[in-house]
Amino acid sequence: MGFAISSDRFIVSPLYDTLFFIASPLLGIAVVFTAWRFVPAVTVESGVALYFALGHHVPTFMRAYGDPDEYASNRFRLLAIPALVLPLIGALVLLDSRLISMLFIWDQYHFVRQHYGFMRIYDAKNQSLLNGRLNLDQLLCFSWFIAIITHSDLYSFIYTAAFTDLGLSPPGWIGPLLRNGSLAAAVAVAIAYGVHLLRRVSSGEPVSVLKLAITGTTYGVWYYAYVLLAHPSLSYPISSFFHCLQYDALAWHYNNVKAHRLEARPGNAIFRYLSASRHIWLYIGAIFGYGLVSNLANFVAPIGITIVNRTTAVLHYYFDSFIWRVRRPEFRKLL
Amino acid sequence: MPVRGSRLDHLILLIAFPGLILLALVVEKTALAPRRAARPTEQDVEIWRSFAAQHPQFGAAQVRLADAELKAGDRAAAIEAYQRALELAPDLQGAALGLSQLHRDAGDHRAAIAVLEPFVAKQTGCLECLQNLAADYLALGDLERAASYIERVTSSAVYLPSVSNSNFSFGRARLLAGRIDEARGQLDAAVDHYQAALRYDPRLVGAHLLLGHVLLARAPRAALAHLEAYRAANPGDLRGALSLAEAYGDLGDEVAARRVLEEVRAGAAQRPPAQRRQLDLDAETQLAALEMRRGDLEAARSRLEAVLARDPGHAAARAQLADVRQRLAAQP
Repeated sequence: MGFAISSDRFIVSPLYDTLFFIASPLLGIAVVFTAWRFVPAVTVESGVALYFALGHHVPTFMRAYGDPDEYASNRFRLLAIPALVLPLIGALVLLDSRLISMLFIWDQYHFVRQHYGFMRIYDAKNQSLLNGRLNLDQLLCFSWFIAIITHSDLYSFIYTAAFTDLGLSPPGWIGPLLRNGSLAAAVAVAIAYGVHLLRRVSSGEPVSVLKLAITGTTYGVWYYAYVLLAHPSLSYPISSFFHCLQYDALAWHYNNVKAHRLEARPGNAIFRYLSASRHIWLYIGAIFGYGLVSNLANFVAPIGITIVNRTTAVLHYYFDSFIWRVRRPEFRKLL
Repeated sequence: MPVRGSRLDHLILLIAFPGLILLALVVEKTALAPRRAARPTEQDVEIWRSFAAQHPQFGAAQVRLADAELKAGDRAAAIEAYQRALELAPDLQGAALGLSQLHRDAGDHRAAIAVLEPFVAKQTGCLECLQNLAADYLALGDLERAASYIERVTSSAVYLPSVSNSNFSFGRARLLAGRIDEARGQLDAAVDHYQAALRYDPRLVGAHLLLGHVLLARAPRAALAHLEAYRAANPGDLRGALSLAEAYGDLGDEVAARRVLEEVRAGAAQRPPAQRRQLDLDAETQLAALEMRRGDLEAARSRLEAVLARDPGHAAARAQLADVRQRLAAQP
């Protein structure tokens, strides 16, 4: 088996994949540090949170509600869950509940799930299907991420502060225990993964180099941002920037391909229009527009926009758990 | 039966999802919140001291430690932790804000400024720092500098409180901007700021009181509406009630004014002696004002003389008595 990568192993093209998926974590560092040269760290943080983190909720909604097939197969959830989530989030915000701060756990979880999704896509493109009882990719994703989080001053702080503010008092020994335990688990999984990889290579089974590359850049940059840098205002923007860039780029490509293949019908006209290549400016405008509207609304109705922003975040996390499932035949066909 | 199974899943989801959140909310409000409130400050110090020892290079931990030390009453340890935080992370706004607040709370506005000014020279995006600098200069009477700092806040176009973990709010910034403009005699601008603060965050009921005071002489009906709103939102503030009574009196509604003053007296009876005495004297002075307005100058004079007998330094009573005597002397 060789490691030469033919262009059909890429999701879109070598350039597109490199720029928006595989090297985007490095791009995240470059963009955040360049911005930091010109504006204070808190401004970088606000800018990324506003125009990237909030903005990347928009493609979720475009896909969930705009794609007629997606809407038809998930209509119940797409209508019922927002009707539930909005008042619940409203109640939590208005009652000043500290539970709201726990959303960052789901936020981190969806970062890891997205990366796992990319691994699965690259495997699918490489015909490297899952086998064996253990899902080592998933174990690798979570064990490494948890080890990074527990070794991060920043995230140890965020978790300790969140639980302390909630009324729980984490004992002093919990930190070292989690650090040591998660490191042992991450090393064990890494060894198992390495052995598994060597077996595949020696038996001539396909191995996706692109999957390994995106894992290397993603986890390398997470380690740098969270453990080595651990900056209260810069670490999260680095991570958020590349997560959002990857997401927006993948969602655009998928919708664009799907719009091309859809048979023209009045029911899908809006989706086809918004996802057409010549209307990419509308897509980018919608992403940045949500950030801009949120920023402006924050000046006149901060509580209202907080509720809306938190609701779209929860819906983004939840909808993504089923609208991007790699095992769906339609998804594999279009990518 | 895939459809049925799916509907059952949906039903479970619809019940389980909000159910779990509501259960967590109930647990938080009934068990965790009281526990948090009852937690001794020393325990917070212990948690953050232990955390800071495990993460010695992380500045934000020192800020939490400093906050806990301050709550536990150890000011020197708090200063040390804030300073250590700034050494570890010179752009950490929580450290600059905490250290300056500590000086501000001690009444040392110059020391607070000495912390914040070099900080905002580099961290221009710290709106809370700029706002606090404006408040410090207002307290020192330097209205021009106060105005220049608050202008930088109110003209800012980018702010997202959810990620900065800051207590900053544009509503409170507009309240401060209004107070600065009021102090500079720019009452129209002050009214604009107060109204903007209320539009921004209706929970800032203090804006109603400030608007009531500014508008009392210029637009008494509007002032009355704001003072009534303030009284409804904050019935425990008897000073606000006195302002409301004054507004009723100015508009000639003696019945309503007397009713509110009775409420003030009843409320004052529950307060500590010094506060009770002051509120009682102020209420008496306002009753005298009502009598003056009605033309009962003799009753007003005897009431004001009684007030001044109890507190010879009561400025409002003294001014009113001078007015009553002048009017009595002018009578044929």
